[in-house]
Amino acid sequence: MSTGLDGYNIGYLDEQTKRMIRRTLLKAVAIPGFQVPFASREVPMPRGWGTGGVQVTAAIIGPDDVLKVIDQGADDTANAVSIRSFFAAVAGVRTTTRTDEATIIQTRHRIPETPLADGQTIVYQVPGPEPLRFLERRETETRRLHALADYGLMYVKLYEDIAKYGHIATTYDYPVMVNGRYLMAPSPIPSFDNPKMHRSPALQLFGAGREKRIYAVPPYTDVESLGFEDHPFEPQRFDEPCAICGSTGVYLDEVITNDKGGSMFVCSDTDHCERAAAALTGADPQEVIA
Amino acid sequence: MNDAQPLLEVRGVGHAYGDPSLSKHWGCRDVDLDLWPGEVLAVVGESGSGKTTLLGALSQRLSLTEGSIRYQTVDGKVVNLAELSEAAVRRLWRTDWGFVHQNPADGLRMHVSAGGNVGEPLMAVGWRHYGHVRAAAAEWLERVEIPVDRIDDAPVTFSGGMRQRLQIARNLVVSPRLVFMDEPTSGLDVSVQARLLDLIRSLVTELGLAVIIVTHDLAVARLISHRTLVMKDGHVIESGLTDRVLDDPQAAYTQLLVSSILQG
Repeated sequence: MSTGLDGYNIGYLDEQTKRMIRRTLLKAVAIPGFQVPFASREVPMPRGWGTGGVQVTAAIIGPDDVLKVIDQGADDTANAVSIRSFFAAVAGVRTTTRTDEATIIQTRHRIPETPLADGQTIVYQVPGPEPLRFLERRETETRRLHALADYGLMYVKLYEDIAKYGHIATTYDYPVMVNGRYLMAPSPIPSFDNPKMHRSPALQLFGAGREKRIYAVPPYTDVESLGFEDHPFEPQRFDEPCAICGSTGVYLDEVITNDKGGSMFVCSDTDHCERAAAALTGADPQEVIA
Repeated sequence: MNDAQPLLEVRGVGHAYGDPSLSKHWGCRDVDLDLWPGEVLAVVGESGSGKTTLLGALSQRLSLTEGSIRYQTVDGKVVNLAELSEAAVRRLWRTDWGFVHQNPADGLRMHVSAGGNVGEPLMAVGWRHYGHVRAAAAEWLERVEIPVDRIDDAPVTFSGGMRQRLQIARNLVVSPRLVFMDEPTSGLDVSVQARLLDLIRSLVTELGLAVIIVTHDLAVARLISHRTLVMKDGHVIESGLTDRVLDDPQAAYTQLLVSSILQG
């Protein structure tokens, strides 16, 4: 069994720190959607680059785990690659880009297209854990509002959207109600991904390193996106299929192709795109992209 | 509703600023008063006399250092406010009480549209239909004489008088039974003051509101209140029917206060 990089504890953090984070996680799972403060540590990356997610992953990762890291859905961007190789080095774990092979998926801003399964854990990197922050700046007051489940304020935001744009214009970090009790920021995932959180079989953990908060949604928990009776929540939709693999009903990124205004829409989930494209041609996934 | 029982029964109320075990700076002390449903009570006095402290203590924004406040809830039960949980006090705030601040910026969200400001209390008590919230907001803007086509404009773009009227609409939209007002007309010019007082007076009569209004302006007290309380140095020195207090002041200080006003 590999023990990771010489001179480092498994998973980089020391055992006391991991124990502290696990205690926080237990409390977070026990109170779905409630933000639990924790003593966020320094990790070898800047605050705001996924330090919360890294600490959560470090606290739960074990030698048998298989780790996948995505950044905006992609496995091959700088942030995803460095976090993956970081854990490969300090925890000696196997890594993958395939959603269905992973036991832990650390993510920034997306939930994979492949449905998550029982036994998987998804760790979200969270920049701003407080959904009410932009309307109420005082932390003492937002905590009180959560304690009293006084969430009228959040609807003011949605009201303003409809008054201004005719529809709810919030397209990412769309507020959700967890288990009918706590209002929660789902991290900046597109509202397209919100329905995937509802009664998901996977354990969902959220780490905000800079803001020093951890929260969680246990498997099979209700996650309801807010809305009005006459303006219900509507996830984003795309009219075109992916330009590479032809998938429909997936989240697409716009890719600029030249400096004359040309662009195309492709899957943001690279793992899904590779496999869908391979299924299309019957070829090996890696070769299709190359 | 029990008509034999006052809405608010205040006995020996005092609030001290700072740590009460070290030194006591009493903002107000030994205040007794009864407020009946539908009654308008003015609290007058010079600046620093404890009017605003009293209002804060009565509305549970400031803790009571001594004394008790009993409140008759909408279902006729009498509760001791100091014994209510924070959640219960907040519920009173959302459904039963209003608070009109001297400075509208304290009572409004200045960068949220007028409609959002009026709609917020409704959404806080569970309204989840955008069309209904908006219709109620539009109706209230009309009642406080703000053009309905300004419904999507933020209060930062409003004049002082409009802001104050918007604040009143926001407070009255949930049909409270008791409204606290802290110098609602000061800072406005005289003609706007007069219109605002007219509006307050007609809404109070129409809705049967009980109001405690703090003012240093005796003309305001004369115009809209049934009873008046005169404060000085944190104590109530005289109280009675407004006309009696202002026409036949008993306490030396009240006599001074009344005679200091230029007679027209």
